[in-house]
Amino acid sequence: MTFVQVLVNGVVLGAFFSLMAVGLTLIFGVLRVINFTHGVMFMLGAYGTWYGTELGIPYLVAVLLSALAVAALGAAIELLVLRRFRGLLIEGAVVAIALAVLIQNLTNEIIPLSPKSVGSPFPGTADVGGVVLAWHRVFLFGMACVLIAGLAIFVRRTRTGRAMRALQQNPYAAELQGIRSDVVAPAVFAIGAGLAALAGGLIAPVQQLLPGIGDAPLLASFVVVVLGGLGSIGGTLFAAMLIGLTQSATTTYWTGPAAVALSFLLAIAVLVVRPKGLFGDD
Amino acid sequence: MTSARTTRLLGYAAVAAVLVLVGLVPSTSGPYTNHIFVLAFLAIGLAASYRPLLVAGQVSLAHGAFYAVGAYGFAILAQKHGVSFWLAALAGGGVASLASVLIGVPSLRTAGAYFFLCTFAFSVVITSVFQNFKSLTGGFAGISGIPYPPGITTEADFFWVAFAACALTVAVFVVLDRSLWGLELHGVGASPELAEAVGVSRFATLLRAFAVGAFFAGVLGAFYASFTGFIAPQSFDLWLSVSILTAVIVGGVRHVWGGVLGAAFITLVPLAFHWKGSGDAIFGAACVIVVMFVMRRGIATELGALIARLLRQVPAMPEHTHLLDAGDDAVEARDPAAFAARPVVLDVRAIAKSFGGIRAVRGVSFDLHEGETLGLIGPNGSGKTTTFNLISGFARPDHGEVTLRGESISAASPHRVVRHGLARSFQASAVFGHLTVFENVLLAVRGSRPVNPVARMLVPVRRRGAHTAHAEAVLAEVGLLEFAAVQADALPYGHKKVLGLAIGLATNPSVLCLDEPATGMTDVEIAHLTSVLRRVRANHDVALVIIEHRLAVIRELCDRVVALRSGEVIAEGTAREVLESPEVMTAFLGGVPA
Amino acid sequence: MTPLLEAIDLSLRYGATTAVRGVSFAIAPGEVVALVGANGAGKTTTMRAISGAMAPAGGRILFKGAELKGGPHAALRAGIAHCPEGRQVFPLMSVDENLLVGAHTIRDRKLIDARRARMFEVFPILDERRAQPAGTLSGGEQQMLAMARALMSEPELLLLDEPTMGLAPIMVNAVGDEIARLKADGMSILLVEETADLTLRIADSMHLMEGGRIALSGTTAEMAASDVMRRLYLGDHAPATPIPDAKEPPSP
Repeated sequence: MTFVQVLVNGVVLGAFFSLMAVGLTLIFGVLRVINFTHGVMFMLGAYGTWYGTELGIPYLVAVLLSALAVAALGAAIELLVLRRFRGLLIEGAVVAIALAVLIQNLTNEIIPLSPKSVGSPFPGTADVGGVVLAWHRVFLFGMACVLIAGLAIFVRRTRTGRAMRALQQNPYAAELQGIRSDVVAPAVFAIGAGLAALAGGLIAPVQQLLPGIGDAPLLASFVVVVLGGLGSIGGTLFAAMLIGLTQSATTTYWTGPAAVALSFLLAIAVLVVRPKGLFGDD
Repeated sequence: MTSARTTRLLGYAAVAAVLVLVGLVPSTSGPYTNHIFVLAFLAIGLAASYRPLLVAGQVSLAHGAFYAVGAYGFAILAQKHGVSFWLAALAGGGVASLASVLIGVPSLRTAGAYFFLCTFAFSVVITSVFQNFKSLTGGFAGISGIPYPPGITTEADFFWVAFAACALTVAVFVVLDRSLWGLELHGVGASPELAEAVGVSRFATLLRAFAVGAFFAGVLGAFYASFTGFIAPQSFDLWLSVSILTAVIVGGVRHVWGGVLGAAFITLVPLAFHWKGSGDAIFGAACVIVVMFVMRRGIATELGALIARLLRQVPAMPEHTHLLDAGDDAVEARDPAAFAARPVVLDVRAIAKSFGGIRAVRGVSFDLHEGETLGLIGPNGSGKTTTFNLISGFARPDHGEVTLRGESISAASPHRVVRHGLARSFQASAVFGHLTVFENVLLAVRGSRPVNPVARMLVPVRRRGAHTAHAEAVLAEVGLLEFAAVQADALPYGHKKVLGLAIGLATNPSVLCLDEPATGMTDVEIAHLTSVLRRVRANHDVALVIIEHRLAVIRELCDRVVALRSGEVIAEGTAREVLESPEVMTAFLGGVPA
Repeated sequence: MTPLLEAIDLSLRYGATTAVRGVSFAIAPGEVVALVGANGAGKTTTMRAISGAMAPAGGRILFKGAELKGGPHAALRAGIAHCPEGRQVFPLMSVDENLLVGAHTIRDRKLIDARRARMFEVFPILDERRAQPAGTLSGGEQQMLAMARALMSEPELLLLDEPTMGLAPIMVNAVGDEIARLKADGMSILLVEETADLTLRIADSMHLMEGGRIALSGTTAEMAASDVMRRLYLGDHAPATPIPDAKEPPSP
């Protein structure tokens, strides 16, 4: 496999990680919650997309509807459950973990474990000068770019996005400007969950669907978020690319399982030098 | 106290009953139940050994990994190299402990989320190691044929081995919880800054908890490997660490038996409902959510509080809430000039500190003589508390030097500064909330002195001796002796501030820095405070630095005063000189009052 | 003339701790009223109740004749803005963005732009530093920013908590000048101060708070001539009747 191929694979992987991690860093930055349900949101997005296509809904529409449903679920989780543990970091994390286990196992019970497939509107591959590009992955990359750009614009330019950043940087002053964390919190959760679900839906055609598929992306997201700096979107993107490239190179030149381990080691190495992550300052 | 004894007897009775019931298990149930109980015993041991780190306020996801490391270490030694069972098991624990030190040393200095991630990473990486180092670990095929302990032949027999291991582990951690180290853990968990301020090294305390916990996890892992006879990378995953964390949180961190209860709950309750497939996990998760909602501090903590209330074991506040005035002292004649002639004990030279664009302290210098009382005054935001932080090790000066009794302490961490002899109180009423008043002071007494490691971990800290007598003496001196058994959080505000003073005093300092000791106090409380301070400085010849806004207090107590404004010294001299100087009056009032 | 703001028998608690009890005062339109007193006397707590950051345990607050209810967003809509103690800017956001957050409760884009432009006129130093992250500004500049941010909602009543705290003397004067200018333009202001320098300069009337209650009130002229300044300065006073459970609120 050529070097360029490794690079391309790494960039696509990085884009995927970005989509997963950016929601996580947003939730932690604004709400100070370590969101262990992020993995199952991804999984539900994938399953929801599959279900939609089974009902005859076109793929892209299914991805969107599924993401909207999961976003609503995310908001509900914040409103009904996690709100009660605001400020209690460990207790909140434990409840989030329990929720994730609950949802994952319910899915296991309700949906049979038989093989599922989701068709992609972009099948096949292209060969560009020796580099193999699966069209769906190109699509995935493109969508990730669009979505993250959209998020960046939202956070930088809109009133709600500014309110989220204000809440993150100084909750007391933000309250005094009329920003209501009770309103912002479910919104942030919805966005985070929605992005994870989109990632799940977008990757469904090239992935085997199992209730546990959220675990690995959750793990990777944690590494990316801490490496990039908790709460920093730009940092997360950079870290995601770094981790994506690292994993791609490791998988190609060494072995698959070592890829995850190596990315962790890389993260630790960076943290020794910069304890707050590459771009964090919390 | 009959109610304390009643609680204790009830406790023993409960434990005895449980032990009897447990003892009946092997003879009354089949192999499946037996198997689950063995796993439950191991889980209980894991929870008990994990708890200390949580008490100290840190979350780790590595405990399951240490369990795995111990299991593999033991299996490799016992199965592949024929090492004797007990030696191999202990070695397994040792390897796990070593691993904990390797990842703990770099990550526990910052601790918090960074430490959390490192433990998370370790769990993931170690699985990879198990999978890839085929020659050592057998890779995905794992290690099989791991022997039972000598003399044990059946699974039913192993029940007792596991039970003994579990009981021993719990017993050890009960002893450790009662020791000085246990008290230090609670202190660090309640308030890391205050713990440092009484001489307890947060880093050392956390590393101990991590390493000791890892050792026991490793040994329990050895038992697991022996019990199942076969281990592979798939036998251990991240969720194991997660479930240990869950067990302790659900059970409650406050008491050792919380972890026991939580682990038993999580492993045994699904036993009652033989559900197929994921039923166990669903039920377990749902239970956790419900329990966390209803008993947020954990089952054991809430139950313990309920029982204490029922048995009326919560010490009532003494009827009168006035602080006792231990005797009438005549105001001693004090000659400020005499102190100025004594040697300098604290020398502050041109210290400066900026935070971003804000220059909080811009070059402050002053010195303090032995036994002297120095006042530090200035409007809000003039840099007084920052100055305190700079001299007590809570902040490092950008420029300048701080010298205590000839030794530089500018770069020292707070617990070292305390060991050198400078103690400080905090502006907000900082106390170790969930500990009793007595425990608060005891921790300060013990924390500020060197202790040999064995005594630190094994000797019950509350046993009567020189230290407890000293703690009582300090409490008597400040007038809080009657409140000794009251939980610090339950004290009224004024009493909490006096407790803060007592905590500083208990470290036996040469210099005691008090940050706004009179803020928020009524006049009666202030009168008490000033008489306590007079008594203390007469008895102990301790030098005081006092930040205060109530200038009457400054006038009454201080030999010399330094006035700050905008991070700089604007006046220095006797209290009268400074308070009547035009610069100071302008700084405070915008002009000289008519 | 109906007062702009009336606090009537206000009682404020943090959990079981009573921080403020029986506080009553009024602010007339265009008036500058000051609350002075030592740390822990309840001044900031009272201000938080007026800006809606804290709900009263007893008593009520009337603003323009109507009872004030709901959180800070409601108070902002009614016309009260709170410039908190210690500046509290959003450090990673630019000066410009800080102002935009100040306008959070306003939906009209053109109105926001107009007000922002006006703020840059009134505070030229902020215009200079428009794109700079607020955390890199000096203390005095941050104070200007905090005030401008509060003014973005064009309040009728401005709450200023220790606006000159920790500032170098030059900046103290500059900030004082700004506040005097606001007063000249007709703004009603509630000022909290530990010392009284700004109060003596611009306040029309002042209340001395001690232990959660108002101990003395009067016009600035009366108070300046009286015993109050000495009390304030020296903390040297006849014992006040202690509130049975008066305790210190936790600092924000």
